[in-house]
Amino acid sequence: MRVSFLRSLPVRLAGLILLLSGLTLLVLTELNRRAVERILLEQAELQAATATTAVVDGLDAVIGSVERLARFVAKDLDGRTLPPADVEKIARNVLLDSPNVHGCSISFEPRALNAATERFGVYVHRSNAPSRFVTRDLTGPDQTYWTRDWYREALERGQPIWGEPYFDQGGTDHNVVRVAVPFFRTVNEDRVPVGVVAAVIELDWLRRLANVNEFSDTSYTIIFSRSGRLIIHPKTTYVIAETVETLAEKNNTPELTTIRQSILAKRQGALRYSEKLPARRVHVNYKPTKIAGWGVIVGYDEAEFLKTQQAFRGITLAFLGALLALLAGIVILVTRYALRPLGELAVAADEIARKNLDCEIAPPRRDDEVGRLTASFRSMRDALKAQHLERRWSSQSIEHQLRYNQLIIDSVSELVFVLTKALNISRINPVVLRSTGYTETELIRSPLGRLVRLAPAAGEKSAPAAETLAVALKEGRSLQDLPAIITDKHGVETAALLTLVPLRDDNRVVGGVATLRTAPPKPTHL
Amino acid sequence: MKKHILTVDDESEIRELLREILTASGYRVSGASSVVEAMRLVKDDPPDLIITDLQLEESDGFDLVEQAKATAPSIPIIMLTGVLFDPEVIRGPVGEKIAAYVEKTAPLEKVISEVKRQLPA
Repeated sequence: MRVSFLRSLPVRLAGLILLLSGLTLLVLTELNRRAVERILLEQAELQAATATTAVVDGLDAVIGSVERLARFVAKDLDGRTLPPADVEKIARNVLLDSPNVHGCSISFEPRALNAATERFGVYVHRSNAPSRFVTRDLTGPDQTYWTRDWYREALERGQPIWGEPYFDQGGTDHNVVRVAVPFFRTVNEDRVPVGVVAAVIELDWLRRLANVNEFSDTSYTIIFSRSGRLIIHPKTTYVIAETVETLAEKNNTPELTTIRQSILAKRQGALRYSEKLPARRVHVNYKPTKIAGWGVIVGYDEAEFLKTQQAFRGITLAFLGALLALLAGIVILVTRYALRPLGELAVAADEIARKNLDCEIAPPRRDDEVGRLTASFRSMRDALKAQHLERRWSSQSIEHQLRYNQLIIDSVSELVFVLTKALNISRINPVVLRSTGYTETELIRSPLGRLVRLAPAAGEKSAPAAETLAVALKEGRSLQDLPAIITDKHGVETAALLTLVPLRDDNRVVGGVATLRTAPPKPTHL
Repeated sequence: MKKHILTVDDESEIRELLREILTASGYRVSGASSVVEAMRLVKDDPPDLIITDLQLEESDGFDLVEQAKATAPSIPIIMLTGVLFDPEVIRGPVGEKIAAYVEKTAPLEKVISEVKRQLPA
């Protein structure tokens, strides 16, 4: 019976080795993957933290310088009375001196500039026009600066106020953010706020500043104001239009709200969360600015940093698969080589079981356990073959001897009866059949007395007792030429001389042979 | 070179059995069922040993022994027969011209042993 390939020992062994090797390698690969992933993410987090600090420091440097400039101008205006042209000149000089400032306004309370002027407010901002600067009157009906929150709040608080980002409609026509600094005049020994100096920063410029610190393809920066309104965001449509809270609700990322609360509490930190659109796992670092109370978030898509690792993982798995396949091939080949003689021995054993002792068993080619088993099989086959030959030889020898003996018996011209100790006929020669007319079937197992009886000897009147023959056999004695009468199948009687010889087996009488010699026929004269 | 043994027996099964066992023992074996056939082989491909039965087709082993000794007196002859001779007979008239007498009732091992004795390596 042949074992199917899939159920063969080499394949099972290869499967087991592959399973264990595969599992081990997979576990090692997974552990390695996790370790590498942790290292990569830690490096990314470090970069994000560094970038966050760099953005915050940059912002603080820029908006700090702008605020200081506005403070300086406000201080310079403190207590001075100037003609309107000089005020405009001061605002223009601010723009000339500071490239970070996109616009500068100086506004006065009623008659604070001079007694003849009810209100005065001027706004100078940069432009793409050839003259580079544009000056606007803030007292115009579409401006009325004294009604604006930034102006009122700065005067009321008496300190610099960073406002919310806004679109400078009719001015720069850009998204901007403004810092408003009040200036004072001493009246009756009281310092009274009499106007506001405001510096405007363009958000696009801030965005470019923040982008300098991007450290990867997916890294991004979000800056939001103290109230949570977006100042910088990768999606420019969100700027000004959205707040951190609305964004958190829209994107189902409550982590943003948490971040804002941390910023308000002047805490920095890091978070990891999932976004749905686009579906990705992001990591963010956040930190508040020292000036203006803004919040800065620097985030990135973790997948970007694991991309190389994932590609490497694919290569590793492919290599692993190829390695295991190669290993499987080697295991199967080696095992098949090692166990092939067993299959041949199994076939030989089947052949021997089918009594084919001439089956081929190749001589052992290896001096190992399998080789010794092969040698043993060959010895067993040879021994069985010798034994089988010996048995055949013995059988033929016995058969030959029996046939030879039968030929001798058959050639005897006297009637020969082989008898059991009970004087039943167990064997006869052909002369008995010819002389009596009986068939062999009729005589075998029949008592000798059925066709032979003892007759009186010469000079005797009575025949010997019927048990004479049985007694002689029992005593192991031979009887020689006793007169006897043979009665054939048709009742015809013939006189004969009976000789009985006991058959011995190791001196034990097991039966006897009775021969009956009839008188020879009278010669026929031609 | 393998030694050549001629087996002569009127029973083909005996010849086949002897061929198997002697071939397995490393001998080259030829077979014949009659004296005529055996003598032809003795002349054409002289054997190193003759194993003959007493009962042969058309003749007997005694005849073969006579003819073989006349043709190649140096070839030893083993008589392998079921006719059981008296030891005196073996030592006398039969034994004079044969190298050994083995009864067919003897085990094959004895036959091989006698062959090896007659044909030492």
